[in-house]
Amino acid sequence: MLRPALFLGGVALLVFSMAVSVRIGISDIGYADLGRVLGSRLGLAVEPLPPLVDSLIWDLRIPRVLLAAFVGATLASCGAVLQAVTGNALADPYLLGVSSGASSGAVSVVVLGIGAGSLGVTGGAFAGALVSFGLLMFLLRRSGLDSVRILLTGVAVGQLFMALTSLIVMASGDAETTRAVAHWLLGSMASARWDGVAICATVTAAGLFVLWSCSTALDGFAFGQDTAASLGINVRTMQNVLLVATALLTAVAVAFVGAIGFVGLIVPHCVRFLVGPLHRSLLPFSALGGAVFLVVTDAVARVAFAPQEVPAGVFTALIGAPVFAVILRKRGGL
Amino acid sequence: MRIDVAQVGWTVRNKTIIEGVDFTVTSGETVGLIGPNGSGKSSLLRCAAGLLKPTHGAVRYDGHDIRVFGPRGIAQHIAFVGQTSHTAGELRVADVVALGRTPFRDRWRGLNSTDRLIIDAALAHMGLTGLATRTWRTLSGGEQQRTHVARALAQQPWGILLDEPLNHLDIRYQLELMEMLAATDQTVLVAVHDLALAARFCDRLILLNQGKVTAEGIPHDVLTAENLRNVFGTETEITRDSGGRLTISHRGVAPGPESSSTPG
Amino acid sequence: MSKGIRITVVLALALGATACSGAPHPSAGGDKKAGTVVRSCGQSLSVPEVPSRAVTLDQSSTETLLALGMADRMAGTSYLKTSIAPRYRADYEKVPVLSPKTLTSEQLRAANPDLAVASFAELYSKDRVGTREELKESGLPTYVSAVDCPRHSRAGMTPFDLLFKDYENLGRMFRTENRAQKLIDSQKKQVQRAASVSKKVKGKPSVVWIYSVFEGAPYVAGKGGLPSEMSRLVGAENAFADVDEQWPEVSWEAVADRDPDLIVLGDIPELGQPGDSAEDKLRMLREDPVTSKLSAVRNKRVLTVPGIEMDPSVRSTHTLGLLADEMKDRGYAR
Repeated sequence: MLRPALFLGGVALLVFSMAVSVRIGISDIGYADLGRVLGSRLGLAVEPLPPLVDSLIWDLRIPRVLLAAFVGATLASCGAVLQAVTGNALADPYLLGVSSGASSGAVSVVVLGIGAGSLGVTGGAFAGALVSFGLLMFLLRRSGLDSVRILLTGVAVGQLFMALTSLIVMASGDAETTRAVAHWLLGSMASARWDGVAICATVTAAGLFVLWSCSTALDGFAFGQDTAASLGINVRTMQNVLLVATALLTAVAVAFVGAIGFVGLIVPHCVRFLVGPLHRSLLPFSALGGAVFLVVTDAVARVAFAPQEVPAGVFTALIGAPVFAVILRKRGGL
Repeated sequence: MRIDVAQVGWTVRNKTIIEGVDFTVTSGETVGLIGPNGSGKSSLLRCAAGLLKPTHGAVRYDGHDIRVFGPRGIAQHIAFVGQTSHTAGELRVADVVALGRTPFRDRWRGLNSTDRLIIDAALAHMGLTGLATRTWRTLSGGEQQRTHVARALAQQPWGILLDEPLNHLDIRYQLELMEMLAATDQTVLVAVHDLALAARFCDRLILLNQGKVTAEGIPHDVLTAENLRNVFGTETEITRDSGGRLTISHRGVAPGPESSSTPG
Repeated sequence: MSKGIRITVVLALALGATACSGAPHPSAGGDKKAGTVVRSCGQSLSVPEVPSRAVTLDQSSTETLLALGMADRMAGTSYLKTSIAPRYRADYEKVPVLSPKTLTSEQLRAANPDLAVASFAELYSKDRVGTREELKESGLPTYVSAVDCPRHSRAGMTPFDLLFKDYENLGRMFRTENRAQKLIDSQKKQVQRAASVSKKVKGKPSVVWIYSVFEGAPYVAGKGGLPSEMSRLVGAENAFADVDEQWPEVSWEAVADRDPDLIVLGDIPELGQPGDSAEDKLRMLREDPVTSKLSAVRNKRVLTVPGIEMDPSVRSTHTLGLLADEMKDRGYAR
């Protein structure tokens, strides 16, 4: 079969891009140094690097590349799932207003100083995402999750939380808060550390497994909810499971790296050209594609304007918007 | 499989769409559902397929209330072909037909060899074998409709419910499809626009008007000039040829206030 | 000299401190190579040897170290807000510029510094150079200006006291106590000279300090910052001293409402945004229908100072001198 070979090729590409990405940055790291860092962690008898160089590789670079891979996989898979569930090719994890909710949560934590520290901000983002998602579900409780309604309600919820974020920032009037929030909203991997990787890895693995287990049902959504129901899919339950799963996954991604757009939009579209629209293949390949895309994009963001670091979200948009335009042209509409 | 539609009514936002509909489709029978636009044909079919929960009455397959089956159980009994269903995806014809196996698939399992045989047979049955690898986007309207029917066949259902399946079809495929539905062992309930085709291929007809059954029986009894005037508001001449076939020719719009308005 | 911040010069005790930092143990005899321990913003910094690769995270820190003559002990500078004061320029050019903007975590580590110096605690955040805790773990002491963490200083210390505390601390760490003391003495003299003006001032003239104009709204000096202190020293008062924020955003109308006797404009032309140069600010004052009628504007009682000197830095006494002269020239002081 072609697919396993192609998948292994994708995994190889991901490993390769991570191996290359981990080297590049403000100072290029040799594989010998990388070996010494890993070797000393494994307790091998290697001469350790100077603590700051070791810290650069072990505390910053490696977690950053891993986090990019997990977040990319998460966003791309969530995009593919939401496009199927809402029957809308423009769907994307940020569509549901989850990222805006997460922003509000993070900003509240920063401004109100609740449980400051890195976990505080992450926890705030997560709580905000859940609150916005809860509001979305509350507003949709009667409408039967019709695809257009999900989109419009998501946009409305998103706008509401954007306004809330602005309000909190304005009221605080603190220049440093404003800066931190603006930076975070652009989406950057600069804050990646091991704690984020651990949480992201766990949630991503569990979440993607749940999404993948719904592949058959997701295919059934291709012709809308009526057809899905006539194929024996419990549409309401399935939608709830999938929306909650994608909201959680997105919330975690947003909490750690901010709002990185377009990954969930363009990666699934590109992957469909490659492996077709059936979710059994589409989801794992989207995860791989998203991981590779974000790992590479973040590496580019690190070095393109050195010594300045550009937030990865800026680059995903710079690459994503034209690619998306090309996809739309090729498909001749939605 | 026998389908009982027992005193079914459906009301949404205080508007009654269908009311007190009561009929039975016996096993292997092909029953045509006719009536003007908005008479409630689609809603009735959706109730019969378990897609709508009737606000009154019940639907039973072989005497069992379908509420106990659950969506998957219903889909293992009945296939439904809706009116216009499109997809944005790049699905190929064979993929769409494979969707018909969904009610029988385990969530972890791909298609097995039995599934593939069933899919191939359904494709062949609808003359789609040559189009199996074409993508949905490149199909004509008729080809898309036939793909949907093939998908329904791949469900290997005891009964098939179809909502205006003849739309977009060339006359040749209209005849072929109706012939197939008439010939099959499966129980068929089909909403049809073309009264002549309905008369020719259906064992019985149900005439629906404003959400209620106006007439029910063999085509000869249902398709009377009076019924058609009352329901469709047309003056119709109905003749029976030597082979017993009905010929329906519309003479014009019926005069007077009797002409039926179509709700919605 | 105040002993508000606990500074301990450890001789024999340095054994323990240096062992923690991972540096080679000094010989058991407890010789002159024993390190220095300095308290900085809640952390005790252990500096086993005189720093030879210091990195500064912002311009004020850069200029302070240059004022102490430490150019050849610096591995890099960053985050230039405006041009370097002419008297430090020759030294400044000897030190590599790691980044014209804020430093990233990778840039700092790649420079392999043995001390990081910052004027603002917020520069040590995860999305910038990393937290002070994690840098400490990698063996890098991080200094934060006493001005930016009054919580950790004795109550009642003025911003100038805190600035002088910085010189003292840095002098200890770099073993250049004499030079630091000289700088303290000369700046103290400038402060005293300015303060002497206050005795001759009639009444309590009010001053509005305009730092920058962003999207049409002026940012002025509020309560507690250096501008309030400078106003107080020369016998005037900050017109916005009642606003409990360091640099609140206000409206032109609010400026007019305070009807100040003197307006001080910060000049930061290098930022390049409209409203950053003093010229722009003056034009806005003259064009605004309300502020143009202010007596300070009509009578040209407007003083222009380098914007960076409104923030606590080694250059701030310069602006204090300008203000004192202005008070004399305008005839508030006899």
